[in-house]
Amino acid sequence: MKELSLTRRLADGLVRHAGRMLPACRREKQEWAEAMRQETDSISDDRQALGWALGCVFASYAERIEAMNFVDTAFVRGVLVFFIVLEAWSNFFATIATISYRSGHLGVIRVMSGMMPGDDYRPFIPLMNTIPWWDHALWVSAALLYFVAAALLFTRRRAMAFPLFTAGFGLAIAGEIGSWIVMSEAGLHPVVGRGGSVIGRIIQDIPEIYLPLGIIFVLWLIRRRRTTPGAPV
Amino acid sequence: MPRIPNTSRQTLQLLAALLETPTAWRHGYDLSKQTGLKSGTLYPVLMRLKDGGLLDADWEESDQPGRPPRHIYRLTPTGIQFARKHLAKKSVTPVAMPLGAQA
Repeated sequence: MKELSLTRRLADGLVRHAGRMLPACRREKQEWAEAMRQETDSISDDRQALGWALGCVFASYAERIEAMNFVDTAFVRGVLVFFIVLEAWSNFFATIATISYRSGHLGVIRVMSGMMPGDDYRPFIPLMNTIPWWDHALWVSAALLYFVAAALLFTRRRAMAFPLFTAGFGLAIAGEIGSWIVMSEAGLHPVVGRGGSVIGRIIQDIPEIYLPLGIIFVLWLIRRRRTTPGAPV
Repeated sequence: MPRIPNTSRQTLQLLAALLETPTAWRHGYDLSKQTGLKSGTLYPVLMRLKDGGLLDADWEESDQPGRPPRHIYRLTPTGIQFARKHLAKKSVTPVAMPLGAQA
């Protein structure tokens, strides 16, 4: 009997491993494991068989992770809603502060000062006088989309939360860019405290950039799970 | 039956390949070569299509003695309808994509 090459033996071992890794909840698990094994066996070229077997391992792990359903749970959705509301609030913040200041309701903005750098709103007065209303409209629109996305996470149409939140993030970024341009033209950059070290900037940007990107990623996972043919819902 | 919602590009590619000869049974490796989908992408799609009642799977005895049977696939009547409906909306070809063109 012809001795199997190392590559072929490796392929065989991998595809058997793939079969064992298929999640127990997968219907006809044994059938798919056997299908993978026989298909690998039927490929005459050893290297191609190895590539096929590696793909089978990937498929099995993907199925196993999918079966864990760790993203589309009430707990994860609850955490997501918490962070989305935080994001919405941060988008409302500048607009509420500006309305409060410009309308002379200083009590509101004094309370909000506790959430501003230096616990003082006065360094931001030039900004509140300068940033145009269209910029605020972008932030408020983003915040409203965030709220709708958060609400959808409680419904069966939660896959829609991903495009809505992403669109909201796009508006928020457009608002940020708009405000940066306006501030640059007015020479107001120093008052927003954007200087400092690179690490400081990265930490400062977490709520504005990385947190929404993290939310978008988890929402995408939920959407992927719910829009794949045959996926449990 | 599980819900059948949207379909990915890879799923549509596979459906297009299966729809070319809807009554013929196809091997996984042949489908992979035709569509350019690697086994890591192909099997999850096959599994979901089968779970959704869109795909039939069976075993084919090998014509070579001593060789084990192979899994073969073809669309169910529902799968054919589903594929026609979804492929009509988008222009998808079952041909293999150039290297690096796949997501």
